[in-house]
Amino acid sequence: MRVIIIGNGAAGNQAAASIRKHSSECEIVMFARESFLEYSACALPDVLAGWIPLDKTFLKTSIDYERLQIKTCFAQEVNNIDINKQCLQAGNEKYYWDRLIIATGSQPIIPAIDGSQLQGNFVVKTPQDIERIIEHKPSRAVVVGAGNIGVETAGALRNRGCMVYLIEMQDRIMPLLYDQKPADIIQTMLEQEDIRVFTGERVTGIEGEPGVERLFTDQQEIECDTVIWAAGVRQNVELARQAGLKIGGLGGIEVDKYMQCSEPGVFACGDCVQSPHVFTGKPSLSLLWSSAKRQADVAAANCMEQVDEYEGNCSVVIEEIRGIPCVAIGLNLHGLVGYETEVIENESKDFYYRLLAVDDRIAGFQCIGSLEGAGAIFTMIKKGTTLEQARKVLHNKDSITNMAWYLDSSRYLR
Amino acid sequence: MKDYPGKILEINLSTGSISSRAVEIDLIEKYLGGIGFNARILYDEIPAGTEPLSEENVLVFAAGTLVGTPFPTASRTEASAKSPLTSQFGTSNSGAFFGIQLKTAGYDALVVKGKSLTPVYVAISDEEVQILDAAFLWGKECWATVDILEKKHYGAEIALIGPAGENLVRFASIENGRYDGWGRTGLGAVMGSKNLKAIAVKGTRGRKVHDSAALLEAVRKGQQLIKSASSYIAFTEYGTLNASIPYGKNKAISAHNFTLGTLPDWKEIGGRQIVDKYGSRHVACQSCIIACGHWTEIKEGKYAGLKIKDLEITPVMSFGATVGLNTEAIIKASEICQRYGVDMVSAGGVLGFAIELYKKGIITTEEVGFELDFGDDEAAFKLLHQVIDREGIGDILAEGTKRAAEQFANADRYAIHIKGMEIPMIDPRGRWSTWSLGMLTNIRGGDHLRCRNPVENLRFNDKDEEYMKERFGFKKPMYDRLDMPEDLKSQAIDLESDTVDIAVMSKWAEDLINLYNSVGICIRPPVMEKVGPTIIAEACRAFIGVDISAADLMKSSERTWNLIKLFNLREGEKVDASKFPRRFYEEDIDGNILNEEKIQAVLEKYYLVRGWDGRTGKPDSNTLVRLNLVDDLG
Amino acid sequence: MKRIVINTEACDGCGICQLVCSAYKAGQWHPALSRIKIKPLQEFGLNLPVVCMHCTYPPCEIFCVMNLIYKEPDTAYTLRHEEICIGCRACEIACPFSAAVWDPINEVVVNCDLCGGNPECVNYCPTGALVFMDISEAADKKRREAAGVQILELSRGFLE
Ligand SMILES: Cc1cc2nc3c(=O)[nH]c(=O)nc-3n(C[C@H](O)[C@H](O)[C@H](O)COP(=O)(O)OP(=O)(O)OC[C@H]3O[C@@H](n4cnc5c(N)ncnc54)[C@H](O)[C@@H]3O)c2cc1C
Ligand code: SF4
Repeated sequence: MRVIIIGNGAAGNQAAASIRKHSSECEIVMFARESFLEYSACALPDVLAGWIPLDKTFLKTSIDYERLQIKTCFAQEVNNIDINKQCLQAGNEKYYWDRLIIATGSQPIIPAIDGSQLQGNFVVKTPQDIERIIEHKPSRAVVVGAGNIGVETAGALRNRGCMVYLIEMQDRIMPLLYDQKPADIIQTMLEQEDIRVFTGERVTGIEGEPGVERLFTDQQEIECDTVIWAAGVRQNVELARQAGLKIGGLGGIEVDKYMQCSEPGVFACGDCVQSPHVFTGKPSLSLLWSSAKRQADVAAANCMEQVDEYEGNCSVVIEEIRGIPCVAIGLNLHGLVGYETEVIENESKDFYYRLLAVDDRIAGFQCIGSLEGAGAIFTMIKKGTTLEQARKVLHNKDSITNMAWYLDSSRYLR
Repeated sequence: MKDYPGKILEINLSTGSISSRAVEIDLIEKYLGGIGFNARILYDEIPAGTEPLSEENVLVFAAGTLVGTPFPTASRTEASAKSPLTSQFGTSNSGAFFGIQLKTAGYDALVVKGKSLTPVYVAISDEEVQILDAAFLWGKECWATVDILEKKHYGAEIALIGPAGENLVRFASIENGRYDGWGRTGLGAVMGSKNLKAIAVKGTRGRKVHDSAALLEAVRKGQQLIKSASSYIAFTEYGTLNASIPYGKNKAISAHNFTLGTLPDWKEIGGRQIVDKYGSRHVACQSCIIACGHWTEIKEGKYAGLKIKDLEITPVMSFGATVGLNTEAIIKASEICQRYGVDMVSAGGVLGFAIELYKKGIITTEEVGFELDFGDDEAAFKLLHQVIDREGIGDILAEGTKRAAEQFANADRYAIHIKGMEIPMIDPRGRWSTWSLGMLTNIRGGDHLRCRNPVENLRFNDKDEEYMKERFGFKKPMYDRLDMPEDLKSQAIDLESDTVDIAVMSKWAEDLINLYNSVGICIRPPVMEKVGPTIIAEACRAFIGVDISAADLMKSSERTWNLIKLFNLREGEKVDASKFPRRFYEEDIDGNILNEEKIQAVLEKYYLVRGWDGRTGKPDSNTLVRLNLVDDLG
Repeated sequence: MKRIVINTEACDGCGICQLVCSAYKAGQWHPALSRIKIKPLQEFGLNLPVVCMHCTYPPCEIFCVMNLIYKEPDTAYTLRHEEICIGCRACEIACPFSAAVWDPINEVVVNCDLCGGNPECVNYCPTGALVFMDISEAADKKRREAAGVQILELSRGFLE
């Protein structure tokens, strides 16, 4: 059997490794648009900050691909897939598959505004991007978009000694992860790092000759030599769309719980798909490393005629700012719009948390200052545990002995 | 190890200043840690004649040297200050988990000075030390306070006082979490006088082990030693309660304020079987392999629903024997003591004293407000609450038996104390031993916990006419295995006559226990029987990397003991204060009575063994030179 | 398959395992560095030891952004290439048992590696609360299964 995997990212590689676990014979062919070996995008901000060397982000050597018997076709863009013929085209060559796994991932968006093509505009996605930024020697940088990647990148640049501005269009930073109060706390932490944070501002244009010199928002003008775009990603679904696979309303490839696309024998996983959210059951984008890997496992298993089901998306994002851990798990109030949500929150000097519950089911958790017990809460969110059930376990001697792992959550539930 | 990582944290509540200083290696070599540090600090920092409840008094908590290692039973922290009860060196030792938190926060010792104008508590989290407002905690009982502080300071261990400490009851305890405490000598009142409600400490740091392989080897050996002790199994099952029946049999319990020697139903009240009836799981202190405590629950009756860590000999004797309560009331009494923060021994002593006064007509129903009798739990608890709240006659009793006795005519005879401190559980008239002499020589007054023959055999009760000896009662292998220098051992134990020389053994036992209190291990019999200075030295060397021998350890411990003696002498201790209550010399129980002169002779022999003046009981200059105390104190 | 089997009833909370573990693994006595954790639950007078369960399908492995967590093929231990760890702490949250332990000194996350088949915590446990044995023989296997089933639902078997 031959499986073709399009994508050399977290999803593609996990799928390959997983298939290898199921079968030592199956032929695996992997395509990638770029030429580099598997790397971890999540480690890139650490490289930018100077904490780790660039080569540490690479997760595989070429020998590792050989060991796993993966035939690599790197620096080969797949131009076309024909599902009826079970065949794809890359360059002038045609390749046939028995199963196809699409793991084409996503791409940072650079909006088409004035000056966004000037020298000095960057994204953070590949090791090359980081090399380019470092080469550019930024001294005054604007990071556009205060999602987790924006925040991490801002922190990294600050650590390099840059003057850093962080611009967010919404009224708070990390708007999809945190609610107002915790977002404010984190913003203060960033400001203590000397990062200038502006929320509720939209970038309108960039000027400079020959490279970036100024950035305009709807409220101010910022002098800068570098602009980093972290204002969202676009799923790489053009291939899938053109092949006639269904694309969902959120822009991701539609898959069922077996990670199979609208055509049998074709699977998709990673940033390029949309899957039901574990809590709401509604379609959602995950855009996380862990989801990509888990989805890839499911896709690989089903592609090898084993049965495995994807549980659904549930995000976990951790930031460490000034050595203080912050975590957002599941949905925040924004994600729970339309649901009647109970908020349990508590704030003390170095510690803040809020727990969100809908119909008594734990839906989200945001915590600053400690990660203790977050694992237990995360597990509960995935399980759909209600506050009542959790408290019952905590207050029953036999249950707690059997499920000792609940204990760490007691701090938030009592 | 050149730089010892521990620090001493000093908090001045008068000025609000907080500082810390490194522990110098010299201090460790000379005083080890725990009580050794406390002795040195109190000697240096408390001027002679300081009023114990004034802002000049200094309160120190020092975790033992080995606390934080897995060395068996290394959990203990010594708390010391000048005692409001005895006006001498006040000190008490407690296990559980306070010590390891203090150490992992980076501190070997915590020194509290001065006095806050308003109630405060101290919160320590590694380097971050804060003095915080405690108005909202003042007046609250201990368990409620712990509940609140545990929520505020997640994962912290808490030392605190209850209403008794706030009300300056002279035998108030400092509680160590919910169920443990620094009971004796009234340290809770010292904390209360400083307006300090609690200390919450949380540590997240560790410390480098000098040689972890060697340390773990010492731990393994230590565990094996303790497990091979003859009393190990009994102690893991029944904890300290093992001693209660033998002492009852010997008519040597504090029954009805030391008037009866034993009680007819003593076996039912205080026997080991109460563990089977009320106890469930064992509870250990940090690093303990004995786990002598039990979770206790009363399932029915008037105290149904009471849950506590208990079933120790101390409350059983103090409330069961001295006050004559039944088992369930004993457990209730422990709860009251833990929640309101009073020392169980002194509380029992004061109640026994008051009941006897009442029965003798020295105090009346009018003065008390209700009737009192031995065995009447409701009356006893009512009175105990009056003491805690210093209400009515409770206000007088809260001063301790010695001071209270001065307020009533002819009450002196019923006040059972030595040097102002209520004596615990065992009646030396019924059984005379190293343990009994230790009550006289104890540097903290009438107390049984600082001197005990490490190989005491409770099955025997030979009464030596001269008070010089007790029965050894074991075979030669026990003698051989005892970790004690051979020449000293042969002086202390005579196998031929099967006797132990009480004076010689007392010094060794005191120094050994004092060593335990310095390095922070527990004095439970299985430890005393097997864990001698040799294995402790091995662990200390591996842990802190100082080159220290067994003999060095014993010398350091002796140094500490002498320093405390000097402290007490400076505070005006009189040689004739080392005396049992008059009752023991004048009233017999079934013919058992003590001979004052003969005991004086044993005492004098003990002084000489210690290198003290036989007549005055003061360390002589040779001893001070030998122990480097002359150089040290200038 | 030999694993650390925990008999909660027997644990008296002495914490020796934590200190032994940290001394062995980190040359420090440092409860926070211990791979095994004792969680006290005073309400019931319980102490609950938690340690890596060496899940069949470890969620920590999925969450690792550096792909450094792996199942050792012969023993099925969950092990790590600690030297690659960038300290993102994602695995800490993935693990329901809090068995992925943050080492603040080296800024990496670690988990119990069963000391290569001779766990020292077990060797020093005085009460028999920790036993190293074949899990199919474990006395409380039933209980562990009951616990496991619940967790199983969410991310396939944590427990064998
Ligand atoms: C800076 C940064 C930090 C991040 N931090 C975290 C974090 O802390 N935690 C977390 O969980 N997630 C994080 N993420 C997200 C995470 O990295 C992604 O979710 C994950 O990499 C997605 O993997 P993927 O395999 O689906 O897609 P990608 O990694 O985008 O891989 C897509 C692959 O498909 C190939 N490809 C695409 N189109 C074609 C084509 N037509 N022909 C051939 N090949 C093609 C590409 O060459 C590429 O190899 C971060 C991302 C970034 C950029
Ligand atoms: S998830 Fe936790 S318990 Fe499971 S293998 Fe990973 S560290 Fe161990």
